[in-house]
Amino acid sequence: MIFIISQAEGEHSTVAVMDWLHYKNAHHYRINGLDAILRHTYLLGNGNETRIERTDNTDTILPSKTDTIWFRRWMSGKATMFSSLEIGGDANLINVYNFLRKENATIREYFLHNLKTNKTLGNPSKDALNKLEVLVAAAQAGMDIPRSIVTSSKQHLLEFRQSVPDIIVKSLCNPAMYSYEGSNYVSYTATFNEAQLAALPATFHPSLVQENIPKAYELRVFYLDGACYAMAIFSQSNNQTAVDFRRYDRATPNRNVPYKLPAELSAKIGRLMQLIDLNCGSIDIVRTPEGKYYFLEVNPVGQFGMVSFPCNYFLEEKIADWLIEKDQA
Amino acid sequence: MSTMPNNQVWMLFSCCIPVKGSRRSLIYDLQRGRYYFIPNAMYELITLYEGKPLEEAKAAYQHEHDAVIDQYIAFLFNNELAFHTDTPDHFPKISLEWKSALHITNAVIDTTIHSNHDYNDIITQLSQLGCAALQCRFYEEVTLTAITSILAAAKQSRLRSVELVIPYQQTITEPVLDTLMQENKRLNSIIIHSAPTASRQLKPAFNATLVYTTEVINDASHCGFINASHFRTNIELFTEAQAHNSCLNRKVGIDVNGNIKNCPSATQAFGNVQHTSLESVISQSAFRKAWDISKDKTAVCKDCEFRYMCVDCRVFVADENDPYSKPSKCSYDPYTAQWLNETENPQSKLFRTLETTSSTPVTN
Repeated sequence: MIFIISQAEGEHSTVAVMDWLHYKNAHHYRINGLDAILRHTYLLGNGNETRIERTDNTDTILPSKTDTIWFRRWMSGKATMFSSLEIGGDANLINVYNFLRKENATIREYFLHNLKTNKTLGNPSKDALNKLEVLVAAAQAGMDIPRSIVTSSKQHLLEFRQSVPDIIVKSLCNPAMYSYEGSNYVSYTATFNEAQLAALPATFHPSLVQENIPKAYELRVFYLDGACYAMAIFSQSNNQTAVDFRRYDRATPNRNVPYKLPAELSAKIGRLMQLIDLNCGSIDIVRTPEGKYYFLEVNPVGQFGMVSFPCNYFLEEKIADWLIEKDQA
Repeated sequence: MSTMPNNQVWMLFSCCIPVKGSRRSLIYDLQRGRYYFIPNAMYELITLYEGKPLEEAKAAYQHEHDAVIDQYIAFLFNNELAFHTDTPDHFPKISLEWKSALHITNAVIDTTIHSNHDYNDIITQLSQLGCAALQCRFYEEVTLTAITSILAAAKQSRLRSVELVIPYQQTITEPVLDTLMQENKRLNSIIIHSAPTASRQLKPAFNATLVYTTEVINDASHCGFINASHFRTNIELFTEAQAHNSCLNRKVGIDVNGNIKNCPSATQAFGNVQHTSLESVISQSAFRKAWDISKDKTAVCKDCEFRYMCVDCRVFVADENDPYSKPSKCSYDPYTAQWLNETENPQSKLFRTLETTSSTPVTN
């Protein structure tokens, strides 16, 4: 049986893969991370095996040793909060929130610990990759990476900038999201100019600063167990998307077209994915006007839908086929 | 673009695909959902010289048309249809393969007050077949209870969107419809026919559209109109239309009497849903025959530049005895490039400007 671990909301790509599994009559079952936490009881083994049961007393279906797992996602990082909680101020609210998150994380770890199969697409322990480790691994795999520094010191930043005049600042982990007065905001990669630099205090929150790599176009590559499916993103003709293509222009979207990677670059991507122990993921690369490729980062949980659809690659079917093949092996 | 180094060549973004018609051609911008009229001479330039140095194209025409060629290239770049590259080999054409994981992608169920459909059973069957979109068309009065029960069945199914077509009834007020849309996320379109006044409202809060039309939709003949406002320029329709019928492929229709058909307006029935399963019908080759009547196989349509953006009709056709004849409710003539009631639009004006610049046909 094929097990899909995902989240409830906004998972069109998960559903599209399940459609193919259904079409090919492959037995599959989906469990969302939130359900594993809120709708299961864990009876800890006391000399015997741990039992996990559904709280609604319907049949509990969990992966066994011979099953194949697709670790797609778990759940959004939000913990369940009770809005009526009277806890005396923001500091307490943050403490309670962090406490609940860690409680949930402990259940997650234990649930995943109980999955015994070795046939897994995606890596549950790698859904939050360390961007810095990955950058260094990419360099080890033979790729060019932007010169990078993490610092809280203005002086060190100024020294870095003497050899790297054009710089950007980006988050160390996933972008932060905020809601304010009905609108949603998310942090983006930004350029850093002279005036902003001058205005910095002597010390600031540790930040990842990188060489701004000039772009002819960007590549988004979906990697699936040795195969690369690449798309070129022409983000440069549009000021809104020039620094960060995720600042989508919905009226006139960037041109996204199929791209054929040079064999040498595909091989380097394969080496990188082996180094960081991932058998699928999306890789962001920049191609400079001079024709050099620079590695930027890996998204370990996919985003294959945004490559599959415009390039007509049918990646959803390819993922389904991978799962079916492994499950029958 | 005169500063381009010599090793740079021009190419169309592969999501921008030229399609040749009898009298003129189109570039389908599948990504941005737009299209551009171009002269057939520009189609020829693109198909023969894309990805090659511009000089080569100009020389091939003995430099007699350099100005026209420059103008065509400028048109492609001004509309962001083309780009320069020194590595054309890295930019393959987009695959035109079409496939779907759904045995049935869409279904239409027609209902009058005399119909006796078991909606629960039909929706369960459609769900098994993967059906994504359902249209329920009511020619006569329908109760709110009946609608609610259909929507409840949809909620338990793999259906992703439901469109309701119902007659105007005073008891079904807009607040009632709002509640329906709010409680049923899959209900994303309601069309009220026979309404006293026409209007169209987007309901972003419910991700739905509410349309009132004064048209009286009281039987299955209200269909099959071919009209530029129905054109859709996207990769799904474009690829599907390459080898399949753009209306009937993977569709199933159930008429007011429960007869299973390619479309409720069709005459041929393949059994009644009360005692024949949908699965057994859609696996019959006779039923699937209509799925493969592509525009490329259809008279007149095969010469039409709109053939991969147009939604076909196989029921109302010019010659009842010829399944490959042109839709009868289409007023476009690709041989003259004229609609029967063509109105002035900026696109056709621009086309004429481009066309006049190439009044001398460009030939090799």
